[in-house]
Amino acid sequence: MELEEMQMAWSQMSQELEKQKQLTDEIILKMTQQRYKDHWNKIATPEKIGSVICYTALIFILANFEKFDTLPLQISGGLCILILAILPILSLYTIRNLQRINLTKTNYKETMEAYAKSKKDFVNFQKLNIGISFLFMLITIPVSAKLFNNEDLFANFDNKLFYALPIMLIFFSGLIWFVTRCYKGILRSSERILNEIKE
Amino acid sequence: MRNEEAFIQLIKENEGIIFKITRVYCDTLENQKDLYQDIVFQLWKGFESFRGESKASTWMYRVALNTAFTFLRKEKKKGHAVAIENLTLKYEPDDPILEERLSQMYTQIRQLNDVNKGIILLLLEGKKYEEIAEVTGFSRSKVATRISRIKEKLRQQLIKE
Repeated sequence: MELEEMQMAWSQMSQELEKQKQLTDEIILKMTQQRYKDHWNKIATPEKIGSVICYTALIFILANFEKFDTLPLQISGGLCILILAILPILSLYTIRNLQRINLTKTNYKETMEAYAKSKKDFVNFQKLNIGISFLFMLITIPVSAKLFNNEDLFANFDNKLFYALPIMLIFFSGLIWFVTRCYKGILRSSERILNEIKE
Repeated sequence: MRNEEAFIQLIKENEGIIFKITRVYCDTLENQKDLYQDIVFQLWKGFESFRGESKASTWMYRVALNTAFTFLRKEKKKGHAVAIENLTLKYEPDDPILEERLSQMYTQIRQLNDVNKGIILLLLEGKKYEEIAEVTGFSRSKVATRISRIKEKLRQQLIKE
């Protein structure tokens, strides 16, 4: 169908639509209220749960900090606290950036550009997140061994770790492979959006 | 209260615009309903700050297109629940020939990229190049170039068929 034919069909449809008004005051109000609730729930729940878990662990480590009686344990405990404090804030920050795009104030081009940019930022944050998580996983081993079993792995290296570490490395390599694959898709889609704008 | 009444009035007067945008961007009725609600919600969110610097319909097109764009990205990841059962969103033309032409038209439009979908929609709505430029954020000359490319693409689609 050529553009001129489309215009004719479109205008015929528009005229008929004018006659078929369907919305009532009640439906319009319901739509705004329902969506407000959905929006709030979508943002809040997973982030709240994640942050509560991180901060509970942080408080637990802080409350038992005196158990770390050697410098390596104190450094590990301190790093754990730092990561647990910072990660939820960073995560909330990137999500907030994605939501900050004000659909009611920007034009189409700006929305697309802002969306593509915030997606790229999100991917970069996730890459950083994986690195930090790996470090976190390593330092959690001596910290939890001390907190739950009163063992100092820095002083008495447990042979079981010879088996545990490679398993963890394999798990992390798998995770990195999977996550990188997902992010490649996100980055490709962001590039496609930016190319569409440039065309 | 007055705001609420004015908003309802605005939506009622322009419900056709929202309907047409949902049909261009979504191919299933469920997604159309969902996008419809998203657009109404976004319009409500921005209604307070809308000061009438541009025409109400221009503002509505802008918000609706922005919402459709972000909705499509979310939609690819996770489904939405249709919350309002009595939102029917049905349009059944009496003329079967028109129905056939509309379906063919939507199929062709959906093959275009997101930018061009928005531009052709505004063009079909009878908007001038300046207004399309205002809604989309592209310059007037860029809009003109894109429209001639869209025409070419539509011709190519015809040849392929």
